Parts: sequence; C-alpha cells; structure tokens
Amino acid sequence: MIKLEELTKDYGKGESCTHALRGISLTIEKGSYVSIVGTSGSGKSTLLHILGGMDTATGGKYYFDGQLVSDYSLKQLEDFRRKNISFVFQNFALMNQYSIYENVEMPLIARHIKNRKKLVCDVLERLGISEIKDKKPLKVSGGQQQRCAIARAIVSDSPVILADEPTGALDQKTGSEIIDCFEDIHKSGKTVILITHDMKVAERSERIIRIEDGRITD
Amino acid sequence: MVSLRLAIDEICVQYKKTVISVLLIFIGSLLAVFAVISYSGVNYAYDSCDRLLVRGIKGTAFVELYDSGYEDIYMFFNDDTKGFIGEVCSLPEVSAFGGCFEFGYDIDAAPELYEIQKHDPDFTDGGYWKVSTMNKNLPAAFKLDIAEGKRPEELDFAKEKQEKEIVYLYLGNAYKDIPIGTEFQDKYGRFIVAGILDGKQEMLDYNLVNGFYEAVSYAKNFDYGIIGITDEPPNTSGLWLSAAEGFSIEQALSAAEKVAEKYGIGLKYTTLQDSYELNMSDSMLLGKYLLRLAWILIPSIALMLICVQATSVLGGLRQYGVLYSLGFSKKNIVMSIVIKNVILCILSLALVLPSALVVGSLYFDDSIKMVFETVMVRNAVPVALFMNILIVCMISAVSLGVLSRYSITELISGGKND
Repeated sequence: MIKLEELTKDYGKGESCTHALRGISLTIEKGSYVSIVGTSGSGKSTLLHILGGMDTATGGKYYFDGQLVSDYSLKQLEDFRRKNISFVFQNFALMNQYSIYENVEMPLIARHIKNRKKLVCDVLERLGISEIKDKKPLKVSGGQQQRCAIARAIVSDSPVILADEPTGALDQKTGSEIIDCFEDIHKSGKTVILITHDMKVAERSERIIRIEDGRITD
Repeated sequence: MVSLRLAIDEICVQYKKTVISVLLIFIGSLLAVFAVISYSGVNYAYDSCDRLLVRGIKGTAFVELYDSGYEDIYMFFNDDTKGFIGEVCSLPEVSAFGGCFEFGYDIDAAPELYEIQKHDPDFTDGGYWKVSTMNKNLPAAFKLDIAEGKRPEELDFAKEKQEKEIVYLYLGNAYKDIPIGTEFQDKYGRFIVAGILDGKQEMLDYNLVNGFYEAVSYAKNFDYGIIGITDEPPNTSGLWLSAAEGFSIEQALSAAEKVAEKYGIGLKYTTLQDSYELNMSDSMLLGKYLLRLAWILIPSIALMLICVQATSVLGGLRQYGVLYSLGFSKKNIVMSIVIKNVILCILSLALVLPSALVVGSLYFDDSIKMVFETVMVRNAVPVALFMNILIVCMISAVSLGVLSRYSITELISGGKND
C-alpha cells in the first residue's frame, strides 16, 4: 500500500523557488489501478517520480507497505526501485542499440536474475511481440515499441507499474490496445499508476486522481 | 559482469568516439614512450659507464698521442712515449693510464677457453678467442669484481717475464671451473689464469673499448668475457686516463699535457661524457624536441580526451537515466564508465607497445637495440602504464563529474528538467 502525507516538492530556493507539489496526501491500495490526470506543469510527473523513488520529496512522508520511503538514503532508494517499481515512459525509453529481446532482458540483468531466456520469451509472447524479438526498436512500430516497454516493465515482476503518458505518442487505436495491456497487468494483481492527459484513458482505470498546481483537486 | 557488459556495449555503440579516444591515447602514449626512451637512454649510457668505471663517465677520458706538430700522425711507442706513460702514471692527479683493445688469439693456444666462449650469445666465430687486453696500469680505472684469485695490482710481471709475452687472464664467471694458475701458451705468449670474475661483472662493449669516437656502447654482462693484463706497450691511438680521487678529469689532463710538452708529444683527448654527447648529438637533439613536444602535446591530448568523454557522457544522459529506472545501481553505471575507460587504455597500450618495438627496431641499429629494449622495459613501459592510469582516472573523473550534475529524472529527459 502507498500512503502519502502532506508531500511537498520544491525546485530552487528563495524567489526562484518553484513549488511542484504543495502537500499531497493520498492512499493507493495494493493491486489498484489509478490514473493521475492534470494539466502540463501541474506536478503529476514529479509525483510519479517520487512514487517511483527516482526523486525525493522536500517535505512530508511517503510510506510504501508501511516503510517510510521518504527517509531512505540514495542506496536504499536504489534497492526500493529494484524490488518494487517498474516504469513505462511516454517515448518508450528503449535502448535503440539493443534488440527488443535485449531491451526486455535488461531489468533481469540489473537484478542478477538467471534463466532469463524463459522469462523474457514468456512475456514477449504474452504481449504478442515475440515475432519481432530480434529487431531493433527503430525497426518496429510505435505500438510495438510501447508493448516492448511494457514487457520490460513487467518482466521483473515488480508489484508496482508506473506509467508516464504511455499512450501519448500513439494513435487512438494503438493507445487503446496499450491500455488493454495495462488492464491485463492490473488483473494479474499488480498496482498500476499511470499519468495521462487523455480522459478516455483515465476513465478506464478504477480511480482518477486530479492534480492541479501541485495539489490534489479531486 | 553487469558493468563490464554495459561498458562493452557502450564501446560498440559509440565506436566512432571509441576510435578517436584510442587514437588520442595511442598518440600521447607513443610520444611519451619515445620521449622517455630518449631521456632515459642518455642516463642509461651514463649509469652504465658509472657502474663500471671507478671515476665514472665524467672522471675518465680517452687520449690519443700524436707527433707534436703533426696531428694526423699517431705517435709510435718509443722511449719518449714510454717515459711519458710512466711519468703520467705516477702523477698524483692520475689513477690509471693505459690502452685497452680487443685481441684475438689462436684457438690452439687455449681450446678450452674457446669452447666456453663459443656459448656467448654475442659470439661471432672468427676462428679465435677474444680478450679485452689492458696494460698493467689501466685496471685501476675499472671496477673489477674478482670472485677468486689475485687482484691486478698484485701481479708480478718482472718475476714471470721470460722470452715470451705474459698475459694474465681474468676469466668471466662462465669459466669458473678453470683453476687459478692454469697456464696456456702458444709460440708468442703465455696466458696465466690470475682470477675469476664475479657473475655480476660487466664490461664495456668492444666498440667502446676500441674507441669512444667510433661507437657508443654500454656496459653489459661479461660472463663469457676475458680480460688480459700485459706489460706490453699500449696502442698510442687509444689510451684511457682516469683521474685520481680528489682531482677532476680536467686537472688530470692538464697535468698529463704538461708532461707531454716535456716529451714533445701532442695530446688529443675527450672525456667520455663529451665524446658521448658529440657522437649522440643528433639523437640527443631529437630527444630534447620529443620531450618538448610531449610537454605540449600530451596536455592537449588530455584536453581533447576530456572533451570527447564529456560529449560522450552528455550524449548518453538519457540512456544512463533509463538504466537507473530499469534497476541498475549507481555503482553499476560508475563502474561501467571506469571499465570502459580502462578498456580504451588497454586497447591503446596494446597498440603502443608493439608499435614502439617495431619503430625502435627500424630506427636503432643492433648495437643500441639491447639498450632500447632495456630502457623500454625499465622506464618507458612503467611511464606509459602510469600515464594510462592517470588518463583512466582523469577521464573517469570528468565523466562522473558530468553525470553527477544531473538527477535521475533529468537524465531520463536527456538532461532537461521538465
């Protein structure tokens, strides 16, 4: 379970200080499917980065399964990310020099997991991209690239999947297919938190959190 | 292993930058290697002579006698030269004065010595066994480490001298089974083993023994060598003069000149150091410029490398961010950068060392090759290694410095804070 108490995040100091988050308090249950919506600059990406342990809050408390993550050192945050979090990015963030297979294998290498081949092949099969596994990302369509990014996120079996505008770079039909994938992931028991501008995408989740000017509005 | 894989992947992906970096390190290292060889080669020559000569390269001179007024006519040994040499030997400023030359004797005189000498790696079979022959006044100029037998100053030529020439032999350590006092002879002379030299004994190459003007050479192992000491007249075209303790070579030569004037003998002389520098002036000049070039170019190359590495890191910011997000630790990423730089340096060194050996073998003739290889192993390789370690530290520090300026979220967005 994720619990935030009066979480704040400031960038800069003094007059040039920007308040990206201004006291966010929320609870996200384990295994839930949540969308965070808001305008550009509202602080939703900052919130996602803090939830994923890629950034730290300026103030407030962040609990994950009862552990106070906001007090973690950088090393502890690394371990926290490795154990609990997987990311899916808007622009896929695939490494173009590697094949689809190698991209999906990467999180397993980072976690020193053996017998990687079976795990990778299974997840590629599940997402319907096993036929393109030897291709480089730039040689496949945007939808296939995002499926690859999702495969990479789920292969390490992290309990929480964080997605930052996962359909932002895709057409409506492909975007809808990608959301189907997230629904499947959610059904398998994972917690899915995604950021989106698209209300159609958000409405398919269990819960919508609106954020404006660093505050939760709904 | 994870970091190694990331490092190798990055090297392959950024192959153009890899090639540029390897070439820059290669050029810098090659320049450093030759600058060091050139600088250390001179010191090697000086050290080599200093190890063997009692007064070192600065306190020993090479002297020629000529007929006063006729500089191109060598003085033959006669009563005047005999008197001159005797008087110079007794000067307080002079510790040793005499000739030293390579001499070949018939195999029949001492086949046992010939059989052993044949095993010398530098032996060239001319149908004789060779001896570095010195006049009895000269051994004091050399540091002779005698393992067993009499010291040269204890040899008694008057007592032994009969109708034949007497040559006392000091045999290199390879002849240690030949008993002291063993005598060989042919129709011209008697050869008496007076001592066995220690295994550490070195001697100057015969080119140097024959004349410092002609070739420069270095002290080297003398296990298969033989020193012969005679009471015969020296070759007046090549005499060695060693200054006594407490006197400079200039003082010793000045005193010898005064004696020469008295006998109407002309003297031409040079200290070994002057002679070396004269003979090696081209190489020393080249070394000087190489050293200057190295001082200018190596820092420039270092700056270029820093730029190449910095752009490489800046170009890969997003990739580092993605790696963090995939679960790679900071340690993995830092190590991958360091390993990548180590691999670049290893690749460069793998090119530099054989290239230096090839260039060296083309540039240096056989007499200097041994010195080149020794100086290369002793001085140039450690300097190249040290330089490469410094390069690894420097470019790794720059890379990590650049990387540490960005948070993970900035890295993912390619260095921009959104």
